Order: sequence, then C-alpha cells, then structure tokens
Amino acid sequence: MNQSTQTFTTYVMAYGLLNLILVIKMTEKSNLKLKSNLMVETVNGVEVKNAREQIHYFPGDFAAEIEPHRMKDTRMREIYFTHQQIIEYQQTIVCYTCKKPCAGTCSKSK
Amino acid sequence: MVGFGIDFGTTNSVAAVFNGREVTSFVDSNDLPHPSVIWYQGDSQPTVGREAKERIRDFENTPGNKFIKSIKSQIHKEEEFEIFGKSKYTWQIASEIFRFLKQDARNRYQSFPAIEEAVVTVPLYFNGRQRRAIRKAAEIAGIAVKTFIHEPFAAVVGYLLADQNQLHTLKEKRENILVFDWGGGTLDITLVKLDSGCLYEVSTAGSNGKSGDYFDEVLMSYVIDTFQKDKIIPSEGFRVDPGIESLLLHEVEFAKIDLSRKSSASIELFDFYTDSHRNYALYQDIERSQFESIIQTYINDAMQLVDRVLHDARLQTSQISKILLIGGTSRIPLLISKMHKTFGVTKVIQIPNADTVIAEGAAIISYHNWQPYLVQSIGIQLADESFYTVFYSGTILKPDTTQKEVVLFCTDNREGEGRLIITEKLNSQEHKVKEIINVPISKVLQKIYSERVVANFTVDKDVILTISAKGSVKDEPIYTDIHDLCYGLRFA
Repeated sequence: MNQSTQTFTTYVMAYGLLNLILVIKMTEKSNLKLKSNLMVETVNGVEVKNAREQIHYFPGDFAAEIEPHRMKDTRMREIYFTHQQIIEYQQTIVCYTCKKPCAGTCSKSK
Repeated sequence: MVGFGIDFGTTNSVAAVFNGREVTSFVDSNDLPHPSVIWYQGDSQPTVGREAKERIRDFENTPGNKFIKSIKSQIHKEEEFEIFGKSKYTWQIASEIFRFLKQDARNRYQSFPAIEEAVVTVPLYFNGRQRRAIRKAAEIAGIAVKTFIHEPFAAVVGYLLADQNQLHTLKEKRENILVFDWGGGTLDITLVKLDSGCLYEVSTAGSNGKSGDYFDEVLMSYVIDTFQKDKIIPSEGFRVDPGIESLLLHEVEFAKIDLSRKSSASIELFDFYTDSHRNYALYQDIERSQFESIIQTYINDAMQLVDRVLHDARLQTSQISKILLIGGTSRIPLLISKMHKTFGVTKVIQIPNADTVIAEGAAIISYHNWQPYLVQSIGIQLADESFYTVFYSGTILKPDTTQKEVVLFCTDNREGEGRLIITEKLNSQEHKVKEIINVPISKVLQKIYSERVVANFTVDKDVILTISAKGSVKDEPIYTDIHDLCYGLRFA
C-alpha cells in the first residue's frame, strides 16, 4: 500500500469517526429535549420550598444571557449563581486560543 | 339500602343486587345471564337478550332485521352504525343492553327497587374513552355509574365475600390470586394482589376470539363434516339451511356444556338436510375426547398465557394461593386438569356461579361504597431532574380528592415553550413518561421572571386524568387526557 492510499484510508476512517461522533451528539441532543424547563412554584395556591429561587434553576448559559453583568463578574457570580450554573456557563465561553467553547481543555490553553 | 352491580359483557350481561346479607343475580328464566345481542326490527324498540340471540340465524339475512353482537368490543369506535337509515353511535346501541337489564330486573324481580345507579365492571385493558362510552350508554338507560371497577377485582370480591363473615379477614389478607376468565368472546387472565385491604393488578394477558362462541362454531363444523361423510353426501351443492344451522348451533352449545359434565353428548335434529331424493335426520354422539382433541391447541395456548402472566410477575406457581376459574369456557375438563397439574388440585377453584360472580362482586362493592384508588403516583418531571408528585399512590379516585392546580415557573424560555412532562412512578427508581405537553410561552428573555405555566390536574369519574396547561402567550389552555391510569380497589 503506497503512502497516498494510506493517507486516503486515514481520511476515510477519520470521516467515518466524525460522522459517528455527530450521530452520538445528535442522539444526546434529542434525549436532552426530554428535559423539563419548569419548576413548581405553588400548589393549590400554597408556595412550595425553593419557589423564590428561580434564578438558581436557569441553565448556566441562559443565566449569562439574562444576567450578563452578574455572570461576567467573577465575584458576583459566586454570590448569585450555583456552582453547577457557573460550570455550565464556563463551558460556553469561547476560548481565545482555540476559538471554541473548550472550557480550558484545549491543548493551546494548557 | 341495596347496592347494584352490572357486568356488561361481550357475550353476556347481567345485573346483581346486594342487600347487606345476600346477593341476587337478575338472570333470565333459564338461570343464565342475558346474551348481549340486540335485534332491531324497523323503528320499534329492539329486542335484547336470549330471544334476540335465538333468532339470529333465522332472520339475520332477512330484510328489515339487524342484529348487533359484541357491541362491547366495538365501544371504543368513533364511527356510527347505520340502522335502517339512522346513524347510531356504539354507546347508543350499548344503551339498549343497559335498558333491557333495568327493565328485566323491574319486571321479574319486583321486590327490589329499580336500578338507578350501579357499579359497572370493565376489563383491565379498557381505557378512559371506553369507560366514558359505557357511562353514556348507562346514563341513556337511566342508570348512573357510581364507579368503574375492573372485572377481575369484582370477581375476587364476589368470590371471597360470598360469605360475609370473611369481610374482616379480607382486610388483613395478603395473597396472589390468579383470575382466569374465559367466556364466550374473550380470555382474560389477571394476577391480582390482595394486600392489606387493597386489590391491584400485578400482571395480565389475554386473547380475543378463540373462546366459547368460537368453540361452538368449530364443533358445529365438525358435526356437519361428520354428517356429510357418514351419509356420503358429495360436497358439491351441499349446504345446510341457515335456519337449521341456527338450531344446530343451539344444540351444539348445549352439547358442549354437557361435555363438561358427561363423557359424551348427543345431538338430534329431524329434517336436518334435504336433497333431491330424501330427507336426512341428524343423530350424532360426540365423545368428550373428540371435542377435546378439536380444542386442545387453544387450551395449550391459554396455559401458555398463564405462564406468561406468572413470568411477568416474577412469581412461581407455589406463590399463587388461589386460581379462580370464571366464565363458561373455563369449565372444560381438559383445562381444569391442566390447571390441576400446574397449580395443584386444592388451589384451583371452579366458581359455581361463574357466570354471575362479577356482577355480584360489583353489587357488593356498590353496597359498601368501596372506591378505586391510584396504584402508581402521578407526577411532574422538573428542570432539576427531580419529580414533584401531583397525586400519591393510594389516593382515592373521587372528584374532590383528585383536583390540583400547580403553578410552575420557567427556567429557560429560549424555545418559547414550557415543557410539562407528566410521569408515572413505577418504583422508587423508575418513572415512566406518560405525556409531554409543550405550552407556548413568551420568547422574550426578560419575561422569564414573570412567565408562569398554570397546570390543572383532574381525575374524573371515568378515571381519566385531564390536564389543562396555560402559559402567557395563548388565551386558551392546552388540554390533554390520560386514559390509562393504573387503579385498584380499596376496601373502606
């Protein structure tokens, strides 16, 4: 097998793998669609526990859209948002070096 | 005070009454339940019951006559029946059976009050739409449905409380009871758990068609074939007159019933067949073994369904305390011997009043005012992946206990819909999604703090859970019905 054939085979395999990853990602996405975006506030007019903590249940990226100033300020974000929300937000930040939302995992940022 | 129960069956229907001491079934003059057959003749009031059944073959193909059988199995259908140019819904036709049961009870059992309200039994697999249609049918006939109870539960109550002294022990008993109900039209096998005053279904299986009425047809074909062979009549042009066939079917049914008690039965019909030369009479003896060889496959199939029910419930035969045999077809000796082999002789109970025990159980339930209850909790899956229980397992399904308004705030409105996920709790770990309602809400991000979804949950008398959900975008709420709630029976 010459070098050009080998390179071609490698490309084909990589393309296949990429497709596979895409399929898995799409499946995950459709599963995620099943997630609810509602929380109980009152039942028959009676307020439930955590009913006033709406902001704590926003997904991190959405919280950053709604309250950008609080989320971008590192000191304020610790006060207003949960650890989970901050992680979710950080995962959406586009990396300066790799230009992707790598959450600090790309080789360039290391 | 009395309680009425109605077993509205595919093949036969019967009502019963309980006065606190004894149960009386409103059977016909032959001590049999009423066939669920309706015979329309023009515009007059239709004939229902045995008379209608016995005339089917005579008049089925005669203009001006229309027979309707097994209306229960078609009750879920939306389409209308055409009866002499008039359209009727299935529930309007079914109402004739309820009307007949009420009228017959009034005419022949005058010491009891008229049936104004009753507990009506339904198969386990009936959904809310079917229950709603039956309620309509009963109401047209002037009978209010107190509640719907599953047929196997009514059978267990009818059997266990035939002796009223058992009532106290019933509340403490823990047993697995297999209800094997094989009638004219269907086979329903249900494993019922009796646990501290509650009855609920553990597993179920069944089949349609290969039941008593089908066995009559099979046996009739066998008799006709044997006759043709014995008399050496060529197949060409051989056809039994429909009127004679009707008589034969009647005879065959009685022969089949006889074969459950005796080792052989006889069928005799004069002028059975006429060809160009002579008249033939039919004299035929049928051995039980012959009949059993004809239906053996169906008996084996039924026993396989029993295995499946036990397998689904993850129970061994030794863990079953009673097997109640209900319905005429379950009296077949071959079936009984197979049941004996599988479960042991003492556990298999041939209920003597197998045709009426379901109606009798319903009458007892009605008298005591026992109510259905929710077996599995109904809840909402929330954004943090926890579950909020709207109705807990054990909730009595009465309109005043099963109404809730839940207001929900939204955690993300970017898609412009609130996702209300309704679940049923299967066990401590597992939830099953019953319904997903996408409620339109505002997409304007800053409205997230004021956006609310108002969801109303109501379980009605037909055990249908109706959910209405409304956001801020549309004036009208979205309505969804859940028809297959899992419900049991709780003794008060």
